[in-house]
Amino acid sequence: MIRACVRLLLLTGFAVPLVAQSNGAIAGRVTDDSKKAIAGALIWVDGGRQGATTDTSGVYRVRDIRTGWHRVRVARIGYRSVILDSVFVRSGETATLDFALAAQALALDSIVVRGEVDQVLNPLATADVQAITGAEIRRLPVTTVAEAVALSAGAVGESYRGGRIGESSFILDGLGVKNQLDASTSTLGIQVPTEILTEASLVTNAFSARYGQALSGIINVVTRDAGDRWTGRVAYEGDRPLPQADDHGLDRAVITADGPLGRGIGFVGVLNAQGLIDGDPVNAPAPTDPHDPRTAEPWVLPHDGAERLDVAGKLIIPVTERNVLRLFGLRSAAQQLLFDPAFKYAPTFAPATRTVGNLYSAHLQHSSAPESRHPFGADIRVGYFNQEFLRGQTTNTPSPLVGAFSGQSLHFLDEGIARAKDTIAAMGALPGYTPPQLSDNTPWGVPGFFLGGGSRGELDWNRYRELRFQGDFTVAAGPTTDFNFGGEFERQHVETFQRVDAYLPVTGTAKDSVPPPAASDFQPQSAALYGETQMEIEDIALTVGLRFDEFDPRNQTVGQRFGARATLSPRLAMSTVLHGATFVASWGHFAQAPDFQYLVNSAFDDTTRTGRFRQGNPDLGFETATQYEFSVRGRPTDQTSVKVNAFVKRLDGLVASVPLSVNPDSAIFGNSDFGTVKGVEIILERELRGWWGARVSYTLQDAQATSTNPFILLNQFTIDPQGDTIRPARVQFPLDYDRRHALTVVLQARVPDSLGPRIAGSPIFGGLEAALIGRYNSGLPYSSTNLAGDSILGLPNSQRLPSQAQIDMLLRRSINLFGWRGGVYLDVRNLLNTVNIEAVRRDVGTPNPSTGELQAMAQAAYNANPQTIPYESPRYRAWADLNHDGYISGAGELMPLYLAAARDFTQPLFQYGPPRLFRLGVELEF
Amino acid sequence: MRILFCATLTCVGLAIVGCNHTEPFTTDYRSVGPLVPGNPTRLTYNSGVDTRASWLPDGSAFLYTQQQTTSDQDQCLAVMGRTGGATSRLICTDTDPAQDSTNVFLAPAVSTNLRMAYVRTSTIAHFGRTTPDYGALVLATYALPLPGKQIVPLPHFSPGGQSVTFASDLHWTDPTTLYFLADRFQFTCLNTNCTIADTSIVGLEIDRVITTDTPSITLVTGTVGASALATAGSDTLYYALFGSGDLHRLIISTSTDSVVFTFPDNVLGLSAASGRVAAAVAGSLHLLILATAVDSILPAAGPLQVVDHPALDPTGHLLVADVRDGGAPSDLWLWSIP
Repeated sequence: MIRACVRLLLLTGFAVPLVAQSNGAIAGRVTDDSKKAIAGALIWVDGGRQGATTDTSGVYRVRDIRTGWHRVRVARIGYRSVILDSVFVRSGETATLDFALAAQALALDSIVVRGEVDQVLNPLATADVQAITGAEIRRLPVTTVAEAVALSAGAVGESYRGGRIGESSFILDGLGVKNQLDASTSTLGIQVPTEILTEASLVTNAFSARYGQALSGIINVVTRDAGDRWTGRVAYEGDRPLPQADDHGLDRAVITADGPLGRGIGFVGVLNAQGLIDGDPVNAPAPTDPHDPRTAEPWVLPHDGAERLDVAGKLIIPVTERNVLRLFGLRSAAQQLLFDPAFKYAPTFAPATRTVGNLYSAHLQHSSAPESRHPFGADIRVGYFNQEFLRGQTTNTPSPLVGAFSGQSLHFLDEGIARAKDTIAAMGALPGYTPPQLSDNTPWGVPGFFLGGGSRGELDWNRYRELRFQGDFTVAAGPTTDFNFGGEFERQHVETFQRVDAYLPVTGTAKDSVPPPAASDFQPQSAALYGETQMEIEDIALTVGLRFDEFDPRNQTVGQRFGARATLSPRLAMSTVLHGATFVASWGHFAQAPDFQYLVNSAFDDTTRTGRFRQGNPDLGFETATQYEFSVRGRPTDQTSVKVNAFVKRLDGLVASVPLSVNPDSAIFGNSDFGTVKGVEIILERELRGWWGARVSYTLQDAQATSTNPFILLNQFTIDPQGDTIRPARVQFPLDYDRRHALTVVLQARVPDSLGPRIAGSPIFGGLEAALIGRYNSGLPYSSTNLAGDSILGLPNSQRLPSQAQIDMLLRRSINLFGWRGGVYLDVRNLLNTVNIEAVRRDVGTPNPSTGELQAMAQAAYNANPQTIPYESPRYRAWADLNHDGYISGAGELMPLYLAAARDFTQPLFQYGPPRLFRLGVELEF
Repeated sequence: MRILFCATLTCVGLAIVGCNHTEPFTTDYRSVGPLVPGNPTRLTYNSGVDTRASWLPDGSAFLYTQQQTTSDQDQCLAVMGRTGGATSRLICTDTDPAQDSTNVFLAPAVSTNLRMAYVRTSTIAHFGRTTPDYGALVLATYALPLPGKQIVPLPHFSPGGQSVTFASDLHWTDPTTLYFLADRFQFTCLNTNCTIADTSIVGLEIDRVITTDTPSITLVTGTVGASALATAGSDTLYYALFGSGDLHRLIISTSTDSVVFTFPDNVLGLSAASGRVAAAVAGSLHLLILATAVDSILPAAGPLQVVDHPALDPTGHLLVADVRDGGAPSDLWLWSIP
């Protein structure tokens, strides 16, 4: 490791780094009226907290400026000073500000002007950043950081540029946060309330060498600091006053406050609480059978309630004049009841999940004095992140306080055994689990498809803990050159437990036995070092970086000690300005450790009790990507900008399931998948000035790989008639997130205060803000299978889902009443209530099963249970007793019930996207 | 504008205070009440045997033995509401996926503190057995009836020295004292070569079990040859002897035994509640008002019906009994008695 460190420093000795990703920089040149350089001019940022002086050529650079709005003052004896009162500095970018000072013999007041930083033409911005500020998020119909980032070109949900889920890394105030346990199949576990944000951005090209653990993108979130006086906001939004069809039981309350605590200490706090009766609303058509209860109430699914609570707090403590300590804490708790069609009529046995995440960080920032001739910046961060996930059968039903929000935790059957990772105790049937039976409390009564009396017997628990140390340093090699270097060290602790069919003991003998409980407990380590520089040579800006990553699973398996594995990731970006446009070319190599879930055994279940098992592989190596990108951006007019990105990305070493034998259930995880992503992104923007603004982004993408899911067997080997193993050509198929065309239009408008009629002096329409987001996305690929679903027909992912379209809208009106400032708003998602198909049955290519399949399902169920149903049976349904003799008997009376039950069971729900959703909001500011 | 603001605040207030969302799809699809109203009215239509109803102490429902239509023909305990309709619960073995044995639950009795006793037998199926391979009188709770604790194995030798192979007519007189009719199986050949045979149950004696940690069984003196048993309150037994129509009343505390009424024929089933005694007498259903000694025959629904195992609810106004119509398996019928 030390040797590698030295190698890296030698390699990057010539280079200079970018600023910390939660920070930006301001750079430029100070001249007099005749364009002659002014040396020794003093640049103060925010009253002198940070700053710099110009060199003999008038060039300056102020480093480590926190993302957000700043006040910049330039002064020199003999010249009239200039103040730019609103300079917005974006994370990871350098704002170019050139000043021309007027010679003045007498001391006069400064000229205060509004700073206009042109990010589009900024030649120093080599990163491909799509950013959205906290203020913009508030103006748009988006609620979460994920929704805001999803507006970026190249984003397909949480997949970026065609990659799998989990190929991105989350950076919060410069601190990397990633749930390395199951990033590809689960959430981060924490959700940063947008109310605390200064800015959220997506970086998709050769992002800074400072960041690893990602192949496809960096989501960079910067939280705001406290203001000079106490301010706050209380807001409530929901859909509960609306008619029943539009009432999904949403209640959300947000409280924010920030201000000084004295002695220069600032505090920012946010509380976000949300409850939703229907956590996954779908726009599925209502069934037509009057006996199906969804026919009368199709809008809300049972046992689908969700609630979450996010609490974040931040202390900003000025330790000395040049050192600031920031302490941040965030706790997110989310839980949801999960609708399962099999338990539609016995929902208490359907599963539920609970995820709790905590993040605590301390950040000490040091910056040099403005007069310093050798500026130096340092960011020392310590972060602790943990996430606990539980899924299984609940043992309690929290009493809701409001709607679906209870504020109480769900508890799960035998979660103590799971936490103890007690695989010995778990070999027997787990206490409290009862085998599911075919439910009798359905409209159809017949014993088929629907379950009750017991859950599926799944118990899934994991806990991921990470302690991270991060040091980032900036040394100025001159006004136009910085050198960044640093490193990080993470100590992780992975614990997992998994049991399926918990109502049955594990025998481990027969082929169809219950999979044994799977548990793991190991403490991987990761470390990284990097160095990076940015140089300006004439009109060319050059960014060169190198990153060294290492991870060691440190598995405890006897006889299997595979040690650490390491990788080097060089990154290079060049930019220049030509004919009013900025050209950027970048190349980068990226690596991320595989999800730790693939290092441990994994048990699956299926409906026939045939346990499927994937063998964990503690010898997995890095997943890697290499990306080439060419980008052009320019300004056709003062108010408009155009940006075009073209990229090619090679993915390699992605985790896939590799067959161990001819047994389809016997496989091991391996770094066997590879792929290629190519794409073009076009972004047109008219800034929000005057009445309106607009942003149009279009993505054309082609993403292919050999296997799109780590749990799907890699079909790379075939057996020839002689029995020899043959490796076929490296054929690639569309990745799961291969969205060919994506168009996103964002329109914003604000009616001038003076416009329109007034009542009692108040404008009716004046001040009204409106935002519209329109999306058109071509369909994602899927594989066509046979009726049984166990054989792919044709090539993998050779079919396409229908395209999707959606329009979201936000109307907001500010109000001043009785000295209170506030506002009301209406947020409408899927304004036109478009029915979007998000998935289809792979055998028929439609959300609904075919008539023949329904008939076959019903016939099979009837053949299994052809018994007569007498009157006193809970299964008796009077309307199905055609001859009213007290018996439902024979195919004539039973088959219609089985057919209706099959139709009910297979009715498509989550194949459809969300319906029109309203949020009526009211907010008060103080 | 002020109106708009106030309206929004009102909506918020209503949302927080007034609205009360509930989960959808909470409908109960089970039948309520009998299929055809009447008195008597038929409660069960099961193609298997439905027999031996036993009321819960609060009279809200009764348990009975319901023969399943699965291949092993298990007989389980079902719970039915006081006026009929769909059964609400089925107490059955659930570890028999291969259906290779016939498991039978019979003669349930629930005490006032919801302890539950029943007889459980098991027979290897499909081998033409005439008697169970295994049996026991089991003690459990109504809330958790399985697996229960075996307190009297079957067969066993009774305190009266008889070989007891079965038990029936279980009754609690207090939370710890259980009375039952000790029986034996009688195998009767119905033709010369015994290719047609019938297994019937014959009463032997009345025994008492004190259901402590170490259960003790004692013979109720004078009850050898009993054919039917009922209890009334905590101190009174009614019973009949095989081959007789005499209804005996035994005061437990004083051991006073007297004949309070004589039915016209053999008594094969008894039930007592609220000063009334219901008796199955030679296939007919009699109701005896003890205070006046007035006996009446309750109407049957058909001429061929044979009634057995009457069960009066705690009020004495509802009566459930087995009814066999010809050779069909018995079903339960309900009589409403003024």
